[in-house]
Amino acid sequence: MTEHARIRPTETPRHFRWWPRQRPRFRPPTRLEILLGILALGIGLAAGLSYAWLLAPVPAVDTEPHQLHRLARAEYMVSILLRWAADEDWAAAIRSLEELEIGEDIPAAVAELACELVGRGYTQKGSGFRAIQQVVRFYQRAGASGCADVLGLPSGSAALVQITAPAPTALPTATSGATALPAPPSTTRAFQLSRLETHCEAATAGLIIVYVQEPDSRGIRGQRVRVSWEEGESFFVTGLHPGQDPGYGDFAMQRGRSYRVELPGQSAPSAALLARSCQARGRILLRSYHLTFRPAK
Amino acid sequence: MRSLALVLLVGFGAGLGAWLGQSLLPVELTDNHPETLSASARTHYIINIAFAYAADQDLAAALDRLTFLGISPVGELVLTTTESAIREGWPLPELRALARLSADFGMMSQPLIPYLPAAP
Repeated sequence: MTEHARIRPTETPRHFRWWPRQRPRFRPPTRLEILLGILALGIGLAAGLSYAWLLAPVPAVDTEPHQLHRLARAEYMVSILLRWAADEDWAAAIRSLEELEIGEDIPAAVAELACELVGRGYTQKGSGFRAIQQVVRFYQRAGASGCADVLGLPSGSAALVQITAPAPTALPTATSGATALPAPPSTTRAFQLSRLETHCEAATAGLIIVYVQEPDSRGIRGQRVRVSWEEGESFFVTGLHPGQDPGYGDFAMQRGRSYRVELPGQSAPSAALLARSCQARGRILLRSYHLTFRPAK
Repeated sequence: MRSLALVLLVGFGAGLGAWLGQSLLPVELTDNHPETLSASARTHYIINIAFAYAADQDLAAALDRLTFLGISPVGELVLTTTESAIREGWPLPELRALARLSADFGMMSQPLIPYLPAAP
């Protein structure tokens, strides 16, 4: 038996230890090391916060009205004041405007925003003109004034939303770049059917397609259209189809029925449009009608 | 050894900062677009427009103002908002105004019927 064979397997050689001969003594960090540590932590924290706040902020969802950009806040403000014009609830309007955080002096802030909207051509549409009138009425009632004052009606006027605004003149003392204001367009215009076509194609089979346009072919959004047949009627509005022209609207016919189309109160009814079959490329389809309404000359 | 500790501290600080900045103290963004409005704020806005429409009957103006929200199709937006408002039990004047606007956009559903004026 050799020398090695006599060593028992479980026996640890004397020169081998699992622990150090001497445990290292803890050396307290120097002031410089503490300072460097704090600095490193600070640098890391600043980098992390910069990343989270500047480079990759949490995407804006569920934002509140006061977080909107300035012009959007102005639009929201107009909606609040349009509601106030309808229900005359002053306290509710003030509460809503406070949530908008437009400024400490709410009437003055409203006057300033109204001025800004006027300067950006908000009153070029009749609806914008009437809306600004309500805004002016609001802040004037609170004793404020602004460059949009010229749009206000004489004090004591009632039911402002229902009256036609007088044609305004140039702003005499505009302070924010506001220029002469155009007369608001009339709310009711007469239209006439300027084109009527029939088509036989799969994409529009069975549809009455209506375009309401300005004389220069620009589509008019929000125009109410009436489709009537013997037993009933239906209404639709132009501009509700995403991706289509603003003056576009359509209605699905039923085979065999006869329809008339008009802009209620603004045009005469069209001739009767019969939903009947047609043939295209060997297929039997329901024909479609394309009608274009334009302002009457 | 000292350099390793410093690197670890920087890393720890960065992680802590990112977590704080994204979860506990997220930055409040301003200059947001109307598309990001909360459902509640959007409902209030639509109700405001419905009241305005009830007063001026200008459907084109109502459509223009609702387009501001950047959500299409507008008709469906008004319909779903009205149905939600009915479920949530909003006051009657609000529901009537919403139902009427929705109906005038040609968007109708069964829950809206009680809030619409009876046909002559």
